[in-house]
Amino acid sequence: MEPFCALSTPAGTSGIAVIRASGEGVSEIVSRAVKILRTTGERTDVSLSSLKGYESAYARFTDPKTQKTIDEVVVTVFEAPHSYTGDDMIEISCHGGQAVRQEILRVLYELGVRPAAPGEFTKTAFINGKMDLTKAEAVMDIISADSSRALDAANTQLMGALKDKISTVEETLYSALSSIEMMIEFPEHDDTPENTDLIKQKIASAKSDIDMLARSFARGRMLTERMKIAILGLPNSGKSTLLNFLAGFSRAIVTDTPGTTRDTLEFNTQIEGIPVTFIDTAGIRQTDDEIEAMGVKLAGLAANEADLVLYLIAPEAGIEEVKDTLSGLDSGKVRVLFSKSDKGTNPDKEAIITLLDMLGIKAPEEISVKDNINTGVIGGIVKEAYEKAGGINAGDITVLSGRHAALLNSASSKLVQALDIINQDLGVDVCSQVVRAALCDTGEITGREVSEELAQTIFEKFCIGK
Amino acid sequence: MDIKEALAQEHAYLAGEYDAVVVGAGHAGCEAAHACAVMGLKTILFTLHLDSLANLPCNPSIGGTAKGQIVREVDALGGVIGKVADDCLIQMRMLNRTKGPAVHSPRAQMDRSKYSVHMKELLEDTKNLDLRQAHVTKLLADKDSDGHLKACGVMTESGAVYTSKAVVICSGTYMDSRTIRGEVIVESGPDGLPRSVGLSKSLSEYGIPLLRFKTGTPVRVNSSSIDFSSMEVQEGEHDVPPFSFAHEMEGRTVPDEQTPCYSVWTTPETREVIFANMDRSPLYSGVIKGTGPRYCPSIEDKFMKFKDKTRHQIFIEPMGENTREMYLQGFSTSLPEEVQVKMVHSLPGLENAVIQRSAYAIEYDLIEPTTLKLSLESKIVSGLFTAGQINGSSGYEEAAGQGIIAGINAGRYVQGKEEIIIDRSKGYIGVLVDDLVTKGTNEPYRMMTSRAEYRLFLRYDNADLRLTPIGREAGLISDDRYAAFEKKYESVKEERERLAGTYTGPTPELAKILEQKGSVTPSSGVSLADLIKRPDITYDALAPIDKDRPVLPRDVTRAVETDIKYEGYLKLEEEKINKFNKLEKKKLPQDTDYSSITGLRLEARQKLDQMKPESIGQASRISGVSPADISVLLVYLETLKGGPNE
Repeated sequence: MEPFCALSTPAGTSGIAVIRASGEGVSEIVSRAVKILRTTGERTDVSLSSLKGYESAYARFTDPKTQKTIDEVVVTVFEAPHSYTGDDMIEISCHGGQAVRQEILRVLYELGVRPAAPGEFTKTAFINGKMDLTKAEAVMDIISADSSRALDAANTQLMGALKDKISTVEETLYSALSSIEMMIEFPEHDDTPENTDLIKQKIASAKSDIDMLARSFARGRMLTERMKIAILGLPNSGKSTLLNFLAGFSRAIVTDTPGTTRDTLEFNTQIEGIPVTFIDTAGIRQTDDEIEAMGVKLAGLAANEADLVLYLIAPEAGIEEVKDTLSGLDSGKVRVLFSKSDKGTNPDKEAIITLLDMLGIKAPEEISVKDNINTGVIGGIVKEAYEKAGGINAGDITVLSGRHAALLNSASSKLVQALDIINQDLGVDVCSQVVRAALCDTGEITGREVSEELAQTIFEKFCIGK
Repeated sequence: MDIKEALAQEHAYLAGEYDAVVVGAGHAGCEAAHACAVMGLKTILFTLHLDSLANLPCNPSIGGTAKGQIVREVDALGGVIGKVADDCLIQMRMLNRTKGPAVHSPRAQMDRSKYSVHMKELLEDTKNLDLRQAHVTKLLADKDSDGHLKACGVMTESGAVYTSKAVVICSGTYMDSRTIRGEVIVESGPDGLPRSVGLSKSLSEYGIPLLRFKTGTPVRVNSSSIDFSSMEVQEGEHDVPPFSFAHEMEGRTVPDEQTPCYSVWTTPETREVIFANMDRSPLYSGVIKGTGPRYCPSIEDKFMKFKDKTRHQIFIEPMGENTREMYLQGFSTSLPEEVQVKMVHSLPGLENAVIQRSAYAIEYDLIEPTTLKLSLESKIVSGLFTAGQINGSSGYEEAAGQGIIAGINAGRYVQGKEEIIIDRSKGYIGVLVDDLVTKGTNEPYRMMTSRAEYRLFLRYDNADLRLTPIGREAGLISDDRYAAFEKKYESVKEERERLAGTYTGPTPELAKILEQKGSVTPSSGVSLADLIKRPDITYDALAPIDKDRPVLPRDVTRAVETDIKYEGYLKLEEEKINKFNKLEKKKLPQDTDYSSITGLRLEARQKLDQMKPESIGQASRISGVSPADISVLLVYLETLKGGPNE
């Protein structure tokens, strides 16, 4: 089996996450991104591929392209057939942040470990005889159910738009390919193109369209993984009150004691039809309480990962503390709310507004959750942030899944290769094979099969006779 | 009808007992009969007319893109088309020289009458093979106790009954055929030859579904009446190996003296004549109902479908050395004769051309190819094999490719051995057979290189490497030829190793060679193999700095160069092939009840039940079977094995 990988723990922020990869020689492939720091017996200078089955190691996970460290992880090796799937496997336990997980997966994709299809680990396990025979029917049902779910997904408006867009790119590539094939198949025909200029132009244009689509993946992630909104502020600025208001019930423990929220709390809902996760955090302050300090640290992490930060300033908050805590945040995604407006106005309001302006943060709003004053403004802020990032109402197309993004990136790199081949005069037959491989990648999204489409295009486009 | 019933007919008599009967002596039938006979089967080959054996009723050429590769493949398996073509060629060219080695395609113009005579002689000299001119009208078959049909012989119109263990039918365009020129419809085979009546009805009575296709051929003119002075001339080439590997290994070259071809363009007058008479075209008036090929439209079709194209190119090809007859390639039509004369006279240089044969369209019966196994044996009647146009293909080469497969497998069937299947990664023949029997076709199927997924690997130059061991296994390759084949690839291997291990420094001599080719001189030592990998550097170009180079035959150095240059891509291709092979090797039992498999979609159940694919790989190519269905089948197959490994 060619190696594939996926996140094995649920999506969403957690302490640690586990990424699994399965396939022949997988540890050999992944060893390029793993520098082992320590393993059993205090051995240090070993490579991932030299680890034995069931052996774990503490390691640095790096992007082999940039040599940048992504995370410090624990890797465990499983040797065929003694693994879940029955093939060689590795498990990477990394930190639970979304960015970390995605970076590791991206590196794995780039190393040639493709994204797993739905249910693929289980299916492989079954095929390798790792599962009980009585489960056979259940597995078959799962596979067919998966495919119908995928079909449902494909019929959604967004997926349809993505397919349409890729189909347009495919048309361009088929047209380039049919010109190449015409040159090969009917060299003496009067319709046959004389040179490869137009072919090169078409491949290059398809490549740039594919790249654009692949770049929109970051935005698409929001649609599948939900937009993350962190609620931040000094202790007792009303963060949990706001969350409970949004949740419509007491999700967080609300007290008047500053520092009550020590962990981050998450809550999923829809705002203006947009799926969002609100993250309530511990109030940000210097603290001697160890547990509270941990909460504060987590709040910082949550803010880093969030797509939008709602920063609450209570009437009693001092400008210096506000300044200290705000300055570490990415100003582009911060919106400030003067909370508890029922309890009065912050005396430093004007100075704070000037400070926000200086930091490049948009003008604040005033709300009172208690008296339900101006709370509707939150919907507007969420929608604005969402659209800015390129959500549903943005005119361009958003790539939804990591699998799609990986396929598009793979297609793009093949098209670069195809252009190189033409430029080096290596033969249009080789170029054609590479363009086909790129179309196989996009075909995994659109479901089109190269050979059938190609004959069709040649016949439609050219007047061929003997 | 079985033998007993056949012999009970009036005037019927037992005329012969054979291991294999081959009906039809076109390019498929000749290969099939030859293969059966060489495999040791007592074989008889029937033809409607012995003087038209291995006829080239359409264009007088063999080879071309994809087709040239097929000729090499048939030869590599031990077939005859390449040998006869080498003996009868009057012009040879290598198409696509500049487009990469995978698509280099040899093509030759044939001396048409000579071809027929040579093939006849070759078959007459083949041991175990009888030739017989007769009109076969019935397939004979037994029914076994399960009600399954099994071919057991044939019967001719004169009541002669021939018993046989296997029957191969290669009926070409002859079954219930009719030719059409405008309003004139004649019940005839191609070239005015007799047609076959009764055989397709007999097949249909056994439950084999029939289809009807159409094809056509252009006019022939006398060259003395043509003014060639203003025409573009296309000369033959000499640096082209012969078709046959046996000939190539003997060091045989193509003839020095070759006959040219010519080309002209249609004029506005041609277009006018055609449009003025379109109402008389049987294609547009609805007289012709058979499906014609898209890649070989008649000239009226080309003008109708591509209205923005004002002119089309016509090639003028010689039909032989001892005839003045010329073939007008690209000018096929089914318009009436008097219109054909006007059309020909509208071409520059052909104003006074004398037409010797009219163009015509021809309709014929064929069988539904999806009722065949990959061995080309019928799923409906055991021991019955079909090859060539009867299976929906078009072209001499495509016919020959199927002919040798049908012949080999008829032989294996009689010998009680496992069938031999060439898969899509092994040859164009494999692609051709798999496409026909798995997907079927709604027009005469022409091979194109783009139909092959593993094109970089399916080259004309390595057809022997791919297929000669298979031909050997079938018993079609002699000891001498096999030894020569092994020696050739031993030399290829040695020379590759030598080039990889021979290093040169950045000497002035090397710099001079590289500079001439516009390539950069390396800063340090480099192997000769690495230099050949560069796009502009050929094996020959390095001769001056490669002092210890052994003297090697051209076919060996060609193979070495291609292997080195495309190593990286070939490796990728190999990975793809390995992946493909995994699914091909997962065999599906023929008695699988697809309707009972949970998880399969309804459409897939129906299609799979109907097609009974031989492997998961073949199942995945059936239209209407989705990747999810394939996953379900994979799981199903595992359940048959009987549970977990541990």
